[in-house]
Amino acid sequence: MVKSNTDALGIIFPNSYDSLVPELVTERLMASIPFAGRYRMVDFLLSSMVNCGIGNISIVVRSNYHSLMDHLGSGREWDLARKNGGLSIFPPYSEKTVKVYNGRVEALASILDFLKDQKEKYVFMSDANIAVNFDFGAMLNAHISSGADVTIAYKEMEIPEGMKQINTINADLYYTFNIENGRVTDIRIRPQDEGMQNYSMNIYLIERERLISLINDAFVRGNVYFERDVLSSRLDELNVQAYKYDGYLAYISGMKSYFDENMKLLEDANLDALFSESPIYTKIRDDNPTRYIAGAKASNTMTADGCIIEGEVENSILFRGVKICKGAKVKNCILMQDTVVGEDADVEYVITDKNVTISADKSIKGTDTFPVYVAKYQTV
Amino acid sequence: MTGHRISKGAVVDNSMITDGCRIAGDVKHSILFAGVTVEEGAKVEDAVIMGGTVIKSGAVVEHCIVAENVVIGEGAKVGAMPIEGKGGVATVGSGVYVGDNAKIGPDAMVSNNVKDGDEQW
Repeated sequence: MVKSNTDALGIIFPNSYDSLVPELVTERLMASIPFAGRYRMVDFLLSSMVNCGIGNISIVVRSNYHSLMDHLGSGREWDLARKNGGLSIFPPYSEKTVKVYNGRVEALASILDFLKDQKEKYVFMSDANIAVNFDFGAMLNAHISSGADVTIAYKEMEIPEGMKQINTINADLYYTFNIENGRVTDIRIRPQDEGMQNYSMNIYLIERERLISLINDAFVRGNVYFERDVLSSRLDELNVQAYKYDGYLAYISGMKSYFDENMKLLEDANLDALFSESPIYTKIRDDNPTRYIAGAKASNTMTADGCIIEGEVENSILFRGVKICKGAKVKNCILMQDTVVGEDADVEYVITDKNVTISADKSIKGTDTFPVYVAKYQTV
Repeated sequence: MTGHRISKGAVVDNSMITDGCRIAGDVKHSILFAGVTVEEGAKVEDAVIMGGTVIKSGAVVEHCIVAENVVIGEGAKVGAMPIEGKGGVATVGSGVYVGDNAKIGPDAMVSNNVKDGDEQW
């Protein structure tokens, strides 16, 4: 499903909702959170965009972005190492107007000169806490045929519990819509409603020139949030259309949802739904295949390359290079890159970050409602 | 490709498995290339299975080399374990379809499709 040249550029905000998963983002941002055994959150959006012919993608970072820059490099693995367009990463303070931004309006204002220079007609913008195989081309077609000024993607779902509970900085807003005949008539900010809602995926499509003038206007007025300040008050003058997304969506709204969304992929139906539409590209690590040494037992697992398994693994996701020693028991865990589970250790409902060592004979267990997180390089 | 999936009830012993594989059957002392599917009830032992091959339910694949994108039908038997250290290594060529309940002997070199129930020694 790889198409050539869609007349749109992409903008990804990789720090969105960082504060929902504080443990995972101490040294990284939402976009570079490892997901599904060998990917990072941003891989899904990047791949979806590239597969739909969007070859000019900007990433406006705010903080902790070294891990993302290291992951992305020149963008080669996503076919974005190009002379025209390709991948652009905008760190803070890179131009005199760019600082550490608050909210999307400031983020966009900081790359306004860049936006003015581009030639594409449309702009797609997205947050990075979603793993989705998204057909941007279909959304663009819907936008053009509806004659909308702005199109926003949404999914009919319940508001994630993790979002409702947040009591953190204002940047973590979430939105639901009232929709009539496809047009958004009201934007509700941080509602606490129960039941199915028209929940915003925060994927926007707007003409580039239109975006530039809206941002100029908004920045001058000191507006901060795109939906709340720019769109919400203009729903009468702007034709804002809602685009319904019916496919598979993994939405990270906290530590528990991070655990659950990974575990959901242990069901073939979900795994196929997320990965079969178009390929998801990621940075390659040249590992040898995983070895199951005599005595290993594996049941209901998803395992990346480079692992050495001598113990028992059940209902778990193993990232690249994980070592499960003899006699170890691993159940309901997400073990990130290069984690070592020592001999006879017993680990259950645990998320380990990269390079964690669980020493021999140690037991560490969380519960299904409270998975235990072990930070990078820690030894238990 | 995603990491390889091992279903509940599958047995993987002393083997090398890589990305994209879906294992629901038994795999012993074997090397599987990328994207190999071993359905529930299938048995693979002492074999090298190359990329994209599908081994269907109930098939028994032993002591052989199977090339890329092969389909081993349900209940088919390919190769045989050596007796007292003696026995040939069956080979199945790229893209071949080995039909349901077919039998491929330990010395066979299969380069054309094998119909359901047929034998090749």
